Amino acid sequence: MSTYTPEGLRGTSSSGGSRRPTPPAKGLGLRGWLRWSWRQLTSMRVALLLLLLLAVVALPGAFFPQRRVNPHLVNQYFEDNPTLAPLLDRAYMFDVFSSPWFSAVYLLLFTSLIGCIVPRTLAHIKALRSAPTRVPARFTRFPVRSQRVAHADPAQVGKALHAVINRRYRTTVGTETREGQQVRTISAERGYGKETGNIVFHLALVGLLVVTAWGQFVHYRGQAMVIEGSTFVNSALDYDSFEAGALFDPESVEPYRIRLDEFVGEFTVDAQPRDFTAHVTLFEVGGDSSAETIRVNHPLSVSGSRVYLMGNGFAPDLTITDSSGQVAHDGPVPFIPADNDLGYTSTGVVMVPDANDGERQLAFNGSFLPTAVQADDGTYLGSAYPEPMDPVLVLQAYTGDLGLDEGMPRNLNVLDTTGLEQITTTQDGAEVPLQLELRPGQTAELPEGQGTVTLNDLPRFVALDLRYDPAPLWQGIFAALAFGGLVASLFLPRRRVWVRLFPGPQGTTVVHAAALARHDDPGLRAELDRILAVLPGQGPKE
Amino acid sequence: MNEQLATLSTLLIYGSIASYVVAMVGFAVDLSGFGKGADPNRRRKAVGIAMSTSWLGLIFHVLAVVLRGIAADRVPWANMYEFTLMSTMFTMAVFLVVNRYKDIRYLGVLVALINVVALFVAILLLYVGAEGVQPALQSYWLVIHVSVATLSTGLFCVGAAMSVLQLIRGRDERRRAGHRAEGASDEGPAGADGDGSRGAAHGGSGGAVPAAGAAGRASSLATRSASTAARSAEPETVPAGAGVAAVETIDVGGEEPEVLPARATFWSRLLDALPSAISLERLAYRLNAVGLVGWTFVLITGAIWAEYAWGRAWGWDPKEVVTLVVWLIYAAYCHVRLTTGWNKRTFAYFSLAGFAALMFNYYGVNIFINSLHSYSGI
Ligand code: HEM
Repeated sequence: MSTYTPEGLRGTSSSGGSRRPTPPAKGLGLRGWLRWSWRQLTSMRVALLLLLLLAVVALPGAFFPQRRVNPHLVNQYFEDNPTLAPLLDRAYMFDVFSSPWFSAVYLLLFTSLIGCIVPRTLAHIKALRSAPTRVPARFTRFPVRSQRVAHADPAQVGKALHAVINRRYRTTVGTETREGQQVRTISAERGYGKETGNIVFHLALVGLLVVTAWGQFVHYRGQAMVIEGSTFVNSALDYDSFEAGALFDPESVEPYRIRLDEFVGEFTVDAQPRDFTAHVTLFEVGGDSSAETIRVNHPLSVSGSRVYLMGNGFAPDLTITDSSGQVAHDGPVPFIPADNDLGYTSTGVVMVPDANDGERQLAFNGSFLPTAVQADDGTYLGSAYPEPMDPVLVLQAYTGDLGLDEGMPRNLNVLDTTGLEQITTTQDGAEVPLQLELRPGQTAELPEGQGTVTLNDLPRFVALDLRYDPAPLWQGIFAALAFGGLVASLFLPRRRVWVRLFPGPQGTTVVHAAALARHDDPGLRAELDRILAVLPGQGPKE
Repeated sequence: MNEQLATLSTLLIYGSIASYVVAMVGFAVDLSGFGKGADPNRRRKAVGIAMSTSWLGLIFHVLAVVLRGIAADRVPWANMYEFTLMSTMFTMAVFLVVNRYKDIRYLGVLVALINVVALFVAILLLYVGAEGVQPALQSYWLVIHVSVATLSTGLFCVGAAMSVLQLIRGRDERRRAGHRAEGASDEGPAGADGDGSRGAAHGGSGGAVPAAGAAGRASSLATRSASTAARSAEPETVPAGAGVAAVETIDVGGEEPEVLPARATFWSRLLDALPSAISLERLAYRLNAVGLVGWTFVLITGAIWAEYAWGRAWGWDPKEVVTLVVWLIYAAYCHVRLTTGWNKRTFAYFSLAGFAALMFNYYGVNIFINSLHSYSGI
């Protein structure tokens, strides 16, 4: 492999990510080895290896479900592959992006990047401040070169050439003595932007990583369900779930409030969702309030945080009385639509811990069907449409001890029936589980005077996701820098042109010129032709 | 009305496929003409027909995409069928546009073949009606993100086709050069490169300048500037008192054809009509470099869109992961290409690996992997 020599570092051996490191001689000790390892790490070959390795270690993250992305899919995977899954799990296949080796690879890569780019940056700054290189002794070693005769004296020719070169190049003009002759020279260089772009690109990648990490440390994120007419306060307590970074500052949670006034969903005739809009009122901390909308793709920005609309559904408003006739529950309960069910077949749980003074508590689980579809025998199959065209709430009822005092964390959307007894009814002489079917405005009675359930109304609820993370702005800035740097680095030409002007006989000048570019440069020959075209008194080129 | 437009769009796609088939045959007939030893300066009628039908196919193709957009009342790149229409449209457009600057008609067979296959797959397996889209897809970031993604795919695709030809051509060149001068043309240093540090090795007045051979048989398919003049005497200095006549105009550099011994089999004559592996590699790199810039843009706009739609810029969703992997491979490709003087074949393997990852990202992830990008309800 040939080694790459960064601009301006040629001939120096102090730094840079480019020399091929030679292993230290025996007996150099720890320092020698450290030095050697550092050189290895910042070598181009290792950087390349790490870049490809990063691609390789990232790939399993696309094949296996990831806990951080979708824990349900991971559980599903465990159920489907009970023997394989634990093995994969031990190999971090479900946590690829927080696995030790993924972290190791990207940290090494970025260390290598910094070790490589810092010396390059210093060298480039030096190059920016110094004059173009001196004119090389021989031109024949350059693949692009020309010799011409100009019918004017060297001073005139030099002036004309300098004028045209200087437009795009940084130039130095000099003289040297060659075989007893005074020879004028021009040394010119353009395209410092290419190297600048390269450095900006690589540094911007480091910047991107740093701001992203910073965002992770200070961010917080919470989820809450808000029902039409109710208000949600931005405070850790009011969230259904809340998580924050290690350096999270509780002060950054501003207690503004959001009231959901109305939710509007638009659907096509075949139930495809088209638009969701949450009309809310925002009450800011200072006391100002304003009407706002939150839509998919259009989060609401409130003082550094953003509120996203992540889901929606129905929250049947129920009034439940117990055996004494007292109202034990009064209010809406969110029923969660099934994933990917266009008809919003939703499930939910209603717990009534206050029933019968907590002695014999009540609980219900069941489905809400906005547009119920029934089989011929009357059983409910599901919902055909997400709007309430023919809404039915189907509930099973339980009684007993809800076990809420034990403080066990529980999924609020699944009823834990331990300690509960299902309420039954007699049908055709057989005892079957009781099923309540309610349409808005209807009341159903529980058997043996155990109470009543009334479906009053069908308000909508929205699932809001609130995130505070100061990183995106900076991520955007660094991404834009990286992009600009990449374009400059790949497409700006980096060229050098040298000219020697020998005095010829009868007031003519013999012009020797050579040009060199960094990387392939198909336009180099044309560029030299363009420059030489100004030579005075030149015959047309064949 | 809308359904009629959508039907018309599909019909146009059939027309476009038919045109590409004709073009493919034309390109193939043209190439096989070289194989049979036809005069490279003959009137190449078949390739003329192929180019015209390619343009015709592209016109049908563009119209089909536009009608599709009108029928669905949104930008026409929101599902796999439409992505394919767009990517293949850009593949053909990149080929035809590049061809205006540099004769790459030799690539026509491959490009037409790829388009025909991809469009058939789209029509037969991926077709969906022209409908609106779910809320998460309604964003102007979608417009930018996806259109650039399909454009980059087109660029990478033509780049990969170029790399395939490079490998075939390079293998042939090596075989022909014999093991005597293993890979003389295939494995040279990366072009005029390296700030002189490499070229310097060849120093010496009138010494060997890489690839600056005398003008040989100009390659017949690719038009090149054979600007090389004889370099019989190229003095480094002008001796005092030398006559003007002693120094004529000398220009060295630019792209030059290399000389290869003539051979006589069908295949060998056909391959002789192609530019050298070095030129093919250079073109592939240029296409892939532009593609990489596009792909960088795709990554960035994708993150911005995800920030708005899903509340996070980057969430390691399978699509995001593979998009990053594609980017990493092409970034590594640029690294290798720019900083090492490795074997040119290696560059082609990188280019093809990148394209393989891209295809996996497109077909594999969309169809086989459960990703947010394939979800259908909020
Ligand atoms: C996150 C890791 C990296 C990525 C994604 C990356 C990406 C790239 C890309 C896309 C290019 C081509 C465009 C350009 O020149 O700007 C490039 C060039 C280059 N990179 Fe990196 N790079 C990474 C790390 C490194 C490291 C660790 C080194 C040093 C050991 C390095 C040194 C270089 C050099 C010397 C060039 C060639 C510049 C030229 O000659 O034009 N890069 N890199």
